[in-house]
Amino acid sequence: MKRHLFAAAAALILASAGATAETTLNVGMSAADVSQLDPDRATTTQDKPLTSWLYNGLVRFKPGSASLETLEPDLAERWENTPDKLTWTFHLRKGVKFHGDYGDLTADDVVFSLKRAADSKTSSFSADYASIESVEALDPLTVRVKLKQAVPFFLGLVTNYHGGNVVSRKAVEKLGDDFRLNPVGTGPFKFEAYKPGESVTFVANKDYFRGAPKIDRIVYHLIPADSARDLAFTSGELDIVYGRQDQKWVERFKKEPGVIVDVLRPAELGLLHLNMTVKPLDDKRVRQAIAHAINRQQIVDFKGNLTADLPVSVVPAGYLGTDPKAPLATYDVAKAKALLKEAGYPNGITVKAIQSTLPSMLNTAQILQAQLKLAGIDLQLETVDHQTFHANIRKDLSGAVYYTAARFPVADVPLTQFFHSRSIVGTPTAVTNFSHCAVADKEIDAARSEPDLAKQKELWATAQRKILDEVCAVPLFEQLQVWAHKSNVDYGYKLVDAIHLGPQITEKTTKK
Amino acid sequence: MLRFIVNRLLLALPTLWAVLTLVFVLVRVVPGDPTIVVLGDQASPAARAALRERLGLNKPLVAQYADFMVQIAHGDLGRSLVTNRPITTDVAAVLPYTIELTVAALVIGSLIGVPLGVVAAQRRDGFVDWLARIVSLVGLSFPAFVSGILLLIAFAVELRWFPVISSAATTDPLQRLRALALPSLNLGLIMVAYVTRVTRSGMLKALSDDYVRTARAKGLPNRIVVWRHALRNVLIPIVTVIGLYLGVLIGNAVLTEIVFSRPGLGKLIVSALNQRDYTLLQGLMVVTALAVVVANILTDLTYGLVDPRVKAG
Repeated sequence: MKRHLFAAAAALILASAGATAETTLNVGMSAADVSQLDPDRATTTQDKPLTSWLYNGLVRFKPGSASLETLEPDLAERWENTPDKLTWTFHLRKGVKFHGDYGDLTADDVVFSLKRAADSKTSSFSADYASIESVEALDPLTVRVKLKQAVPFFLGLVTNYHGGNVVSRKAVEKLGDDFRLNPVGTGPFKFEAYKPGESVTFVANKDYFRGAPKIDRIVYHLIPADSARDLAFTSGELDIVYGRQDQKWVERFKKEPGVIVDVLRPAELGLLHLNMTVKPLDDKRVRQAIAHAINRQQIVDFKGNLTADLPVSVVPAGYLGTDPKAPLATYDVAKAKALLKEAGYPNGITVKAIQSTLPSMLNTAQILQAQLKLAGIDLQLETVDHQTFHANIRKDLSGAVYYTAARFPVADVPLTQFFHSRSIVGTPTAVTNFSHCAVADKEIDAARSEPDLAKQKELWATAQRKILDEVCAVPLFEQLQVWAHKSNVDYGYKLVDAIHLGPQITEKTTKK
Repeated sequence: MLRFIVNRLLLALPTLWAVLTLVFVLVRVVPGDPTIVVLGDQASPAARAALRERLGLNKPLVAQYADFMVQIAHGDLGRSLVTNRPITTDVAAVLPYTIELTVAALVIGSLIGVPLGVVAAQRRDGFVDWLARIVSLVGLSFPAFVSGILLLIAFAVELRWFPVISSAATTDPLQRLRALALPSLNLGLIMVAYVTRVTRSGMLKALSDDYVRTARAKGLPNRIVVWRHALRNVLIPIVTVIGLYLGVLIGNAVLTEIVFSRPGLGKLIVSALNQRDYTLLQGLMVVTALAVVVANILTDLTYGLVDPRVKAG
């Protein structure tokens, strides 16, 4: 009897130990706070990774990949399209559940989500969805999308990225504005709590359609101080950390035992946009002089070859449609000086640039300033804090704008946002065309509705060549993303790219 | 006593009004656009304009100001522009952290600062005095983020006595105390510096006063002369410094909160400023201004306690 009692007690202890051994993944992010967990609004580096834990699209980027060529089914089991690529029909998985009490996913939620993504009142990406003519639910598990015109890569718009993420209609309608910090999706992890300026907590979605996640809880710590974040990672309080885009940081953590550093694409491309409407930048020769005076290799050497790369075009490398053979200006100070002289500025020029004080941006601007000085170009930096920078460059107040950005990996997106005349700052349809570039509108528009991929790529390549020839902007360098994780964390997939700017935590991710 | 408190609160109203007006104007003079934070850098001007209208940012400034004042008069701090959460909820979430950090730093500052100042004054130019002067000089000149990092490296990374992320533990009171130790020590050491200096200089003067000489002539033990007679007379400036410092502490707490990853009012203020969250910033300023007013009242009340000659009211 005694022995039985003992065995029962032991079993009880073991069972309770098993029940309480919760696996928590601690992730450290360089930010004072999150802004949004609404996928139609989330654009910042700290918000985006979280959307990949919370939501699904109709199709998805393979975890660890940012390639559009290897998309795989997500909420849609299969799909078909008409040969003109104007009508797409998606068949949804059965029994996919939204987080909490929001029930099963139906075609109605997908219709609602895509319409929401296309509406500028609710979405920051509405322009990307402007080609959608109609979205309708044919039955509870079938959705049909009709397009006004073919778009560069339609499936890209229904991936688990930005507006492609599917939200619960009931939740959005019930929560209203509160949805931004009470997100409801179908992803492997569901939102649990938000503590302002401190952390966001997620718990495993046990009903996840690919299987219950092996990690029980994720705590996303918001730690803006670099040194504090590094120390928390070293002391073992963090399992995954947002690194610094800095050579020394990568070298240092690569040497630490039990640490794996992840240097990831897609890269952010740094461009110096030259405002073609202000003197002396309205003269093409002056812009050419600036392009020849910039030493890209020196910038990459300064940034460090572990975290930075040479640019290949005005579109980041690896995007669908990037021209890898785009003709970039050679570094030639003598030629730059000669061009300035020819343009009537033998004594050099002065260019005003509004510049963010964000350290990683400011140090690049200072290198540019030193390089341009050698050719007699005085780049005057008007330094302001990052928010002021964002506001003022959109008011067309700057001669040169140094801007780094990663976009959806199709050439159409960066080309349209930075170089199409529709996007010129100060206009009603403005996005981020700081240079007033308008030389490649025809090719960008034609490529958008070109159904043949080879021809489409050729149009994009021509657009890039024209933009470079006109020197609307000078490519400077590509900045890779840096993260690190402890070797006891296994993502469950090969992490090469991070389309969401951070590692995806999936149902297969484990921590030993 | 009650009348005194009510009077002081009423007197504080014009100050509060001035602070709020200043904050209202300042946050709007600073360039920047909260809609870029909310909508991201790819949103169209139309979407931004629509949001500005919904948030009431397109109203004339006078109308916005009137709305703000009416709201405050009703005790409502409004909602954050960026997160849309009620500001009272966000403040209530971090206020306990700020209060416990401030109180702990004050306790450390007083418990170490006062005795150190007294002993230093007694042994003028001796080893302890020299040590106290060095400590206070270092405390005053050492930036909080440097001392914070050093404390973290020593006690959190090497010795592993305390956590690096102070906010990690919140439910268990013991864990919470553990998380509080390093940040309060960091902030407390700056406080020690101030208190030591004031105590030392006050004591030096007091110890050369006639009443101390008389006390000594009566044959009172040194202990009584120093701690009961002289120190009591020095308490008023000490309390003044501590009271004044309460306000400064909230500002200094920002760096400590950031380095130790602790939630708090200071950290929230910086984040609101970065995001151009006007309403949150205004709400936080109301709370901070109120905290300073309350600290001043408490200081005044303490005067009456330490020196019966000071009558409240």
